[in-house]
Amino acid sequence: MQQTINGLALGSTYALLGVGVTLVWGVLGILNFAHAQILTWGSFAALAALHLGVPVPLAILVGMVAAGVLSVLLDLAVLAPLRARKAPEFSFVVATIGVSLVLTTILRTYTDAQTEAFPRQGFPVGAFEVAGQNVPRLQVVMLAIAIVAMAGLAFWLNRTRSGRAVRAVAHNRETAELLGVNSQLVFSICFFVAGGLAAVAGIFVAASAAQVSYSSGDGLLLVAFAVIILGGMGSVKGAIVGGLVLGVIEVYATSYVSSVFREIIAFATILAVLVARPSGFFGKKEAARV
Amino acid sequence: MLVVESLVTRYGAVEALHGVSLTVGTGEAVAIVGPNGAGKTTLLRTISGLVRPAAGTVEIDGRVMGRTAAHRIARLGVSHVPEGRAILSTLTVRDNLLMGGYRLPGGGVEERMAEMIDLFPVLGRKLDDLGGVLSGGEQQMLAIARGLMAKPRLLMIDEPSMGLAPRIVGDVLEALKRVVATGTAVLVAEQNAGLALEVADRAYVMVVGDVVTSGNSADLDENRLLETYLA
Ligand SMILES: Nc1ncnc2c1ncn2[C@@H]1O[C@H](COP(=O)(O)OP(=O)(O)O)[C@@H](O)[C@H]1O
Ligand SMILES: [Mg+2]
Repeated sequence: MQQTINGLALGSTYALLGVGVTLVWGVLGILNFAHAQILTWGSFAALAALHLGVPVPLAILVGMVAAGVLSVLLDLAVLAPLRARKAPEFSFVVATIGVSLVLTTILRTYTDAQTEAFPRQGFPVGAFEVAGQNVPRLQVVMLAIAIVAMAGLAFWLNRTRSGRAVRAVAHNRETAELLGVNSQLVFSICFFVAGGLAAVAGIFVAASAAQVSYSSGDGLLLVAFAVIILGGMGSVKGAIVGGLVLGVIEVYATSYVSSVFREIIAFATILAVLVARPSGFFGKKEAARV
Repeated sequence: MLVVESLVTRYGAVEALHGVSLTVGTGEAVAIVGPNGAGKTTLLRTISGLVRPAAGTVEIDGRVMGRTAAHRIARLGVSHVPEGRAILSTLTVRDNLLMGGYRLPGGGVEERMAEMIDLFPVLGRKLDDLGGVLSGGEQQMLAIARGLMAKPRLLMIDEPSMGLAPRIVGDVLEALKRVVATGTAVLVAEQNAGLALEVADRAYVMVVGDVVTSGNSADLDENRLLETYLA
């Protein structure tokens, strides 16, 4: 029981990560390999704000805006020119990997490759007891944020005029333009939202670890990809379920089998899902882009 | 409302339009006919801003378009129903129509959708189906209806008869005639000259990137000009 709770707690982090990736990858079909670095930069922006004495909610907002802007800049400066020239998908992969290296290097230099303490004052830390089991507060908050973000995304995409425009752009950018949609604006909005959600995930990961470093995001990208593939490409609720399931799998595999599996769980999950059920739990599209 | 002057469009080293001029007046129905590869699609795509011209001008209501983005040209009252219909196949018929009305200012989208369903009753029965599951003829109706949603003053339509059975082509022809009757200007590009001339008052005949002749549909028909050029 406690293991399942631990797994769900870990899964809450993963769900939050997945929700951030699902919009750009799952819906727009862009594999952004710099997502984890944007997440890390967002965490550092929040850390800088906390150091200035800014209250936690506002510091989270600062991190979100910083990561959102960085994410939009990545799209405008690197990806938009590739789209304009109808570059093959491979170019996007290489370009975002390049950007991720640049962002990592800048942050590593700036922090002297040191791990920084991340203050937890003001975050909901500690645990409460339910039926004799320990439930960590921070993870419950993360799950709540992930669910709210998911519900918000699903409502936006399915029920609003601008969300419909996002789906039209995702389906065919030229057609959407012919219908009067400013497709670049749609990309910018999606990248901003994805960056903001990445920052939230990064900040909470930093708060639960009480530390952050330039390499904090390493490994999280693979996890995010695993979550999306598990939940189903383009499915927003799939990101939550995929995240929780992956967390539980990871905790069980580490405690009942061996902790050496920890590192490869996400990878093994991607492989297993791609082989057994390429559309994931809720996906309509197959995850053919990996 | 549309004046195209000496338009040149290139794809890399290949010049697809060698200086094409044409006009479409308010409420007028005009056809561009010509064989495969003549440059009809390129011409429509250049007018709607999807492709940048290398030289020449596109003028809409007296405004020169220059490097205007496609979505801005659409908002000036031009609807382009592209070759292959470009149905948003993963969206429902309703969402396709609503997207057609995306640039309609303010409300009025629901009312406009009701008007479109009056015009194309088959769509009313399939509102919740995905665009991708419609038949070819239904998709063409949806593409036209979606193009009309924003109340354009010019509807450009590329190869409306492509891939459709003859009986269905008749339905599409009727639909286009109804569109013309509403006072919307129509610019139709077609390999099927017979169909195009039935819809249009005037026609331009294109062959490999040039307009080789133009005139009233009736005259073109009588003088067998088409057969000369399209043989
Ligand atoms: N995207 C493209 N890239 C390169 N050449 C193209 C492209 N689209 C069309 N062409 C060329 O331009 C010419 C005109 O094509 P198109 O406008 O499609 O003619 P039509 O619609 O009359 O069949 C053809 O020679 C075609 O091969
Ligand atoms: Mg064509």
